Amino acid sequence: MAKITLSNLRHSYMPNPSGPDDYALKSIDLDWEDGGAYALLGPSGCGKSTLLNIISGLLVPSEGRILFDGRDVTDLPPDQRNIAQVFQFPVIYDTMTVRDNLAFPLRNRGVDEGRIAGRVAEIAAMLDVEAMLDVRAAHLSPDNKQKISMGRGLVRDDVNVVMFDEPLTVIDPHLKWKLRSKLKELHQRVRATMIYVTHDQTEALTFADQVVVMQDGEVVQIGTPVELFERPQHTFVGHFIGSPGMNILPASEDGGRIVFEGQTVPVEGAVTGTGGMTQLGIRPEFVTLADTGLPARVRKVSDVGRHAVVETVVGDTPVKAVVDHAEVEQGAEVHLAFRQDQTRLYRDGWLSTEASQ
Amino acid sequence: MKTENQRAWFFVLPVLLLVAFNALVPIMTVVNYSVQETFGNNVFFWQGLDWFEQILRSDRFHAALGRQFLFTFLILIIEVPLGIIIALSMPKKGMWVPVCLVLMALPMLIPWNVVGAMWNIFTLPKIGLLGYLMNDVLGVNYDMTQDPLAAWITIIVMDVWHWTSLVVLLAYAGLVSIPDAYYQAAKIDGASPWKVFRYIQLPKMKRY
Repeated sequence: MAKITLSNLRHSYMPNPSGPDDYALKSIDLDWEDGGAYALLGPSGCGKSTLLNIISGLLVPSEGRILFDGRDVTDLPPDQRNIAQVFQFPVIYDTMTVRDNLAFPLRNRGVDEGRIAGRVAEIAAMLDVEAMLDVRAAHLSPDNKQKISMGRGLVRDDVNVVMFDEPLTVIDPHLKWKLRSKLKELHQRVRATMIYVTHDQTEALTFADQVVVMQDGEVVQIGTPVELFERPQHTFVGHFIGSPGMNILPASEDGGRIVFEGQTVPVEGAVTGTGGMTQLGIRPEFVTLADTGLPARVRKVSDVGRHAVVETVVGDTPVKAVVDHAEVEQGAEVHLAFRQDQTRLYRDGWLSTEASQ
Repeated sequence: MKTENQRAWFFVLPVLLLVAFNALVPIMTVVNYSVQETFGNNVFFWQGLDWFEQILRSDRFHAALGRQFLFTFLILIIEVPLGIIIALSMPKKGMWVPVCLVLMALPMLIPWNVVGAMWNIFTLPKIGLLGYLMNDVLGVNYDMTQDPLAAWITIIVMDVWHWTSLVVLLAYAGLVSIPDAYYQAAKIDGASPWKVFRYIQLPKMKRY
């Protein structure tokens, strides 16, 4: 187990990258603490798999270094890095039994058979696959296959990091929940550093202690699920996390006031910086229907069970509100109130207000 | 509600008729001949199972059958490994893929009776290119029309030339269907190239 440091990492799939657009990863500086449960969250094509493959050694970065506990491993091949990776589609050795599959990484490293048997039994117990140890792996269901490929990663007790590349893609929805809690449980038991790559915010937020949000080859924010939800550092995070995502509203600065659709909107704290494109950000959870405030028209009300999502328009700008009970109907004229300590200003996408005291 | 009817049979009927006239009827005629004797003029005499008895007791038949098995064994033991080796060394992407595939497919596109005629002329001493090359240029005594060993070697080489591509194409189809993740996982698991072949590539090729 080890602390993983990525320093000044850049990667391009082109031989001669000329501009920032040619890079799949643009300057990544990150520390993954030993034993942490991390999620790497971002939309398809944001560079998260590239980053994962660089850590595992399947890709050599164009620039920058990777350190495991301070030791430079940038040029080491995957088998010498002591890492484990679970892929999107379960990778198992079809012709072997489950037992041989689990033993494979140990046998390749010349571990003696007695120890192998012990480790395999231990891992099988952890994964609840003891009953199928002598079954040919080809005959397993997709979720069990995925468990076996996880098991192959965990069977070595010297792994620095276990990486999961969207491991639940091919799993049936009702089994996803089970496997996800299994993973969380495994993390607590083996205490290895785990990195979980996904574009599914639920998976990321339930698995990880720390979520790294990526967009277009850059890390946008690192934080706990609560931090990401409550104080997104970037409009992308606000929009990407939450369902529905944050309301991002065009706004202008007039002296010290923030003006949206002709009305002054108080924000959480002091505004920092000047110029650029300014936008207001407020989560639908903190928008309420009130007697006074921004005049709006209700466009659509969707009752999603626990709460209702009210879609309104202020002028031409759509604003969503999440309310407990929707007492309004489509077409109604209402007023919206923004909770001040949850209303933030973003400048060119980045958070530009100080937190309220 | 679906109503059941027997209309589908009409769609199968043309094929049934076609198969009946070009396969079923000729085959049954042959079966009929196998229990008859004739001295010409389309006059037939009932012979029972005599022909079958003679064949099964014939030493020449036994020898021919043995040679057939030996031949099959020899070509398989050459073509299967050779085909796999060629498939493994073919490029997986790029402009050379179609070139290789077409080159591989060429021998198989030639009808088998033409292959025989071609190779017969090709290997004839004095006349054929190979026969001339062996006897008159390299000075190796090679005459597949007289020497049984030369004949054996010739037909084995001919069959290998004709059919190895089939093994290549089947094995290649299996190889390119292996997702990259398998190779990556094997790398991480520390598998040797032999183990990659034994546990990833070979099982995938076997499936075809």
